[in-house]
Amino acid sequence: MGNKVACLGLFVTLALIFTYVETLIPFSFGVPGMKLGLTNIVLVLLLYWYGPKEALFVSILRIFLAGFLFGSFFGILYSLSGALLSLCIMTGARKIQDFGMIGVSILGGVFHNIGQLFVAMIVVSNYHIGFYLPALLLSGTVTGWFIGFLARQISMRISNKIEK
Amino acid sequence: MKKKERNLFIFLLALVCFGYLISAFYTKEEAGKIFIYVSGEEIGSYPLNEDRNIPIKGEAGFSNHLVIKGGKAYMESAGCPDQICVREKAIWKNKETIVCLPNKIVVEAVSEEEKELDGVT
Repeated sequence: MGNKVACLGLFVTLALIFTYVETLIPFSFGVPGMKLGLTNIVLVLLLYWYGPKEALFVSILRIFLAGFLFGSFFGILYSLSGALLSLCIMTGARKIQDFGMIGVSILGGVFHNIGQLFVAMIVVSNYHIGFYLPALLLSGTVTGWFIGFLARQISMRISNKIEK
Repeated sequence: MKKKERNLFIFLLALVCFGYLISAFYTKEEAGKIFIYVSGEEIGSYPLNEDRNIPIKGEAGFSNHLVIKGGKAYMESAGCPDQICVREKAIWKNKETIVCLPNKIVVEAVSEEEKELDGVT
């Protein structure tokens, strides 16, 4: 029990560091909401190693901490909408047979972007910003594949060393 | 990659191509004007062929500065820590937008033709 809490604490820290590292890497190409999604490495691994509850816990803590440290209140609402939808989809996708970390991560990336864009449309009451969707789908798919690949490599190497 | 994952990947890429085709169809014309919206309501429109500097007071209270220069519009500064709209690329084609979420600002470029169509409907 104690070990698990300590481990989850470490995962929150790791996710927070990834969030910071991501702000240093210019990847948006002028499209709002486009990003690498490094944090999703942590969430995919948590989903596989522990379960959806733990992943949700770490994700929400990460968003609030990152929001207060580097962003605004508004950024929190925006990230939260993407993260919650993405986590729901990933939890479901994990149960599909013949679907590995890469598939789960791709769906996670894509739906993170869809969730954010949807909330953005509601907030500004302008559906024309939907024209960002193709670019966001593309980035969600490609970065999702990359993140899933990394997560699988990490899992293959250190999965047996994690206290569950 | 497993077979299902590969199928998903290919399906999503096909969807992206389809989406790009649709958006290319809408954005092929150059825009003549930009419209500025705050919380979905139009607060002004400016021609793209005159250079100017436009302060926009948004919903959150701080000001964003929009610059029109050389036929393109871009956000020069924003009062929020996110700075997402400042990093967006300059707009000059039909239906392209710049969005500032905290301030609920949308700047949209519109072609002359589109405007006339809107007048009819």
